[in-house]
Amino acid sequence: MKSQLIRKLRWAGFVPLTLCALLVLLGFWQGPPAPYVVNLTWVDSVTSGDTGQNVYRAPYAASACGSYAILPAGANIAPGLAAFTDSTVVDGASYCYGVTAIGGNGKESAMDVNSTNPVLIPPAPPTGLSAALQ
Amino acid sequence: MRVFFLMLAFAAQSVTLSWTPSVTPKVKGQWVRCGLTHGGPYTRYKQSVGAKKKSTVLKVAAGIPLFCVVTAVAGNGAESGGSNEIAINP
Repeated sequence: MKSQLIRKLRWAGFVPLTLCALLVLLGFWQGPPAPYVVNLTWVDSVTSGDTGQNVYRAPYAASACGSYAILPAGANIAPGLAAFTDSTVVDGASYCYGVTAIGGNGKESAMDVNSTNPVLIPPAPPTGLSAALQ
Repeated sequence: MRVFFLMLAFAAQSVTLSWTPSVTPKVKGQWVRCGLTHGGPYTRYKQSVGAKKKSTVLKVAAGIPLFCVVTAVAGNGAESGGSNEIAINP
């Protein structure tokens, strides 16, 4: 009897929890994840004592780059690595990228940017194409 | 271009294409691209009027199989990859 009651209670809790989880998922559902990533490569001018590199990104609009912000995953990349993949881009957006080197004294170099060649992210493709002859 | 002239020369049948538009908010247009072989290459055949249009009518040549996809164009001018391909056998 006791075990049946426990089972009922567990089931009673399970259903609303599952429904809540589904509603939360539906509420935050923004469509499929962005299918695009940006692969960056650069020439790393490694100077003795460098401790890392930072990758920055800025929105591109009206033929100009906006304010650069450091990419969290692009912070303090090891010296010598000269590639980074940005997997946080938004479909249909445009970006400028920049890279800096961090010296042994902790100071950052000037930023090398690609402002003349912004990255244009395409939109997600349409889906479910069908045809009907008339 | 070859596809386009074939359409003009033998236009005989209408086909309604239907699709689900891109989920990206900043879409400014869509292209219907068609080719004569499975998998492409595809030629721009028809630009839809609106970014969120869900169907269009094509004039196709009778007896010539056609393979089509739909793409979306973002406000920044970048074009998406193609949707699923459909074969039209008028």
